[in-house]
Amino acid sequence: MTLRMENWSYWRRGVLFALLAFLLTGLFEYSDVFRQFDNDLYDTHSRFVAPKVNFDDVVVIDVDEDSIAKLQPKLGAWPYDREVYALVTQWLQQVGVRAIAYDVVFSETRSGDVAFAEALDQRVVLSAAALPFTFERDAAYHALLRKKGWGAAPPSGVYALTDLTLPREALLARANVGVVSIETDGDGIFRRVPLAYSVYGQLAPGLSLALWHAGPPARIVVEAGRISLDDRSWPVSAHGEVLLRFPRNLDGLLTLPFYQIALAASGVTELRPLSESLGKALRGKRVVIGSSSAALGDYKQTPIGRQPGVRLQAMVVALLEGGHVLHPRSWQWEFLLILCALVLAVAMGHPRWQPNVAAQWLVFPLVIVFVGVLAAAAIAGGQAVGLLFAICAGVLTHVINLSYQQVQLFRRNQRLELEKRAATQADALKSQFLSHITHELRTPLTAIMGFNNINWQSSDLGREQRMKNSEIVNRNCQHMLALVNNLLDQAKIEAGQLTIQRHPDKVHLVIQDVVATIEPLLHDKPVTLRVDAVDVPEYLDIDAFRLRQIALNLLSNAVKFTAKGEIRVISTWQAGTLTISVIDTGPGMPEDAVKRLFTAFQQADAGVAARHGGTGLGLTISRHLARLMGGDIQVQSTVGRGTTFTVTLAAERVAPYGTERRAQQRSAESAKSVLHGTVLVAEDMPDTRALVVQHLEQFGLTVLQAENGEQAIEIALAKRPDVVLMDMELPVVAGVEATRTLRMCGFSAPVLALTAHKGEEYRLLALGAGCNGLIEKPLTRSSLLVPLSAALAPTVKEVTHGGP
Amino acid sequence: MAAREPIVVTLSQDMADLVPLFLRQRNIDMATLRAALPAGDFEAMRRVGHGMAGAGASYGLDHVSVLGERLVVAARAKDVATLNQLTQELEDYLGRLTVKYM
Repeated sequence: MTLRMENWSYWRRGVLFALLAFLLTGLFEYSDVFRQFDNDLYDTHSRFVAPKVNFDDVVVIDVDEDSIAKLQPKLGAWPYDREVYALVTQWLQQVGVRAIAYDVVFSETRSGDVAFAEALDQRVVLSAAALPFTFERDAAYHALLRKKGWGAAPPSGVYALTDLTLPREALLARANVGVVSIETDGDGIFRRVPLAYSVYGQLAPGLSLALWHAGPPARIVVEAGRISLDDRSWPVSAHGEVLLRFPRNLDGLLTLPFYQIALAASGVTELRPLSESLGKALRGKRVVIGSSSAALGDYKQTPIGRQPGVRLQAMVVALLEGGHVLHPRSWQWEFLLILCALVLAVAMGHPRWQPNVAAQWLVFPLVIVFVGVLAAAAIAGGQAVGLLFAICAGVLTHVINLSYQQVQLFRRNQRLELEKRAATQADALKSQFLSHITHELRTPLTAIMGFNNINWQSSDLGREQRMKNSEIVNRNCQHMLALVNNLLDQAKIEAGQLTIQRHPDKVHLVIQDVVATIEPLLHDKPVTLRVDAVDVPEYLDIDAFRLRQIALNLLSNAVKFTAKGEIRVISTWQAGTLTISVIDTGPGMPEDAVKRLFTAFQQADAGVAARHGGTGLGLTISRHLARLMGGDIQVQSTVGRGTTFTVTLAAERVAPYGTERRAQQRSAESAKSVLHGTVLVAEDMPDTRALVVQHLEQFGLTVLQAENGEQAIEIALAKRPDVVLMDMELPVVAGVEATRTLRMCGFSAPVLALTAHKGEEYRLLALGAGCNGLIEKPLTRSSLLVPLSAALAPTVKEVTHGGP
Repeated sequence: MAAREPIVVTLSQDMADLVPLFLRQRNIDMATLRAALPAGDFEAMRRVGHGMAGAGASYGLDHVSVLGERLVVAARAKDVATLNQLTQELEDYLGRLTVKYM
């Protein structure tokens, strides 16, 4: 999978990583740690965007520690006689408060109830406490509940209670009921409050809603996700709870100590100024009366700290009035936020944006801040969203992405390390090759220089000895040329530039030619050479030049290693495959030597080169050529009995054409634009000159022309061509003379003699005049290409003209 | 005299531009030979032969090279009869030669 993923586009991989991160975060979401952290993060974040709430409308009257202490002498210990509440209620009504809610449960009988009941009216809400258990309730309870409830409860959409402790029936003649139940989340934090409750089939408002309503029961409309009362509507959860936006200015909620109100209500004359200012402060307000004392208070943990229930009731009224409630968390919004985080993580994780590793790390804070800002915008817009899932998924996506990139980087480094090692190895092999080939070149060169010096410096040598020495020089030159040709072939094979040129040709002629070339090498060895052909068609579509090269290589090897016995060459053809076997009765080779045979520069054993010479390239090249021609070379060898090389080549039977053309000529035909340089052609015969010029131009060479020896000297010295092709029989100044003159003038580029004369003396004449080689006419592409390639190759020039 | 059969030689298309030059040169050679024969200018005839030997096979017309080599040998030997015969052979060959390209 990893392997295939490497070919994926970044975005496709990104989607996969995002999906993986989403699933992993999904698993993590089920843990308690996640939920705890999610809530904490939500609370912290909500505080950043907490609204400033208008508390002008609500006042808390708090039976705090101070009030209990101060009222102790007059009223005795809590709970107070209900007449106190009667007085306070009457006084508050007198100063003109809008509504009063008692966050005190008056469920038992106490003295003063009659006076209190008479003081109550529709603007007063008494607490009914939600209970988590079911009681056996009598008919009177249910009747009272029906009387004080706000109609029949809907089957869903409101908070269902198991039971409710109602205030004493006597007190409820005129007052209303509001349910007190402070619900907390799983982590014990108060964040939401039910607006209405259903209990025993009756609908009852929450204390805060009832106080906000400040009047007789009205119709509460419960719809999916919304609860409406009067002309206001709030978004609620499926259980009828509103999610609160906690204010940042809860300290702005006016809280008056109960004792001041109690004193003001008692009508003490000396307290009239206080009473008047209190009355002014309370006029038109919604008032919550309850206790924050340690003994009576009902404290809750909220996102903005620990708060007494009485203040929270008042706060909820202000939040309802100001509309500071949130739509509950929904999967659609959460998913949108997660999607944004994933897209950002994938987009910013793209290597294009990441100039360095440090920048990669910046993606983490970027994702967190991005999610934070989006969530803040959502909360400010009234939609609650959790941040943790989006942050986790985004961060995890980038973690996976980074890890993947790191793994890729590690792999790439490993690969580079391997490549480096391979390059070092190749370098070592190349050095080995260079030293090997230098040695190979130096050996014939030493012979060439040595025998040349003998001929040059010894005056008493007879003509026969001189010719013999020249013959040795010539043989070594031939060997060097073969070596260079092999090297060129090997280089072409390695560069993939060697191509096969198939043309209809007579295979038996090629074999005959090779045999004729090889036969003189047998000297007087007691070896017979037999050639047989079975079912070989006259013409086959084949690269005769390369076939000749292979056959020559195999046969010369056989001659080299066979001291006595027989060498057989058998050609057969069947269904498009030409098979040529060269069977000798030589010494044979052990198995491991056969295995090394086709490796460049490897010979059967180290002594072979010393005894028989050779470059160690011939078989490698031959096998490459055979494979290029759709075949191969196989070897079977037995020590002491001999060796059989079998070449198979794909070759279709074809009709002949161009009977006068040579195989060699054809093979070189396509060798166009393979050389670079400037060549001067000095040839007096216009037709021959034109032919040579065409060949050279097709090789890609720039051609200069001279018609006689004098012109040749002038042009060569003026234009300094890279090679001169010098006909030996030029008019005005003969080619031999012209070459000698050029050498005397310090012209050092190779000069190749062109001659129609056959025979060794002409060759020696040309070389003696300073020519570097000789090209015999007729001039074909290949007869020109091979020596020109060698003459134009820089290494060859160095070997030819430099030397120690 | 028997009908002269054409000698058809097929050469590469690449040679198409060069062959007219080759044939023109052979006509010049024929003229040189005709002039040199009665004058006994054997060196001129050797040079013609040498040029033909070099050019013929290079163009893929091996027979021209063969005639050229024989001209060189005959000119060196000052063998007038053979030179005369070779001149006629060359004339006959050039008259029958048809070059095709592929």
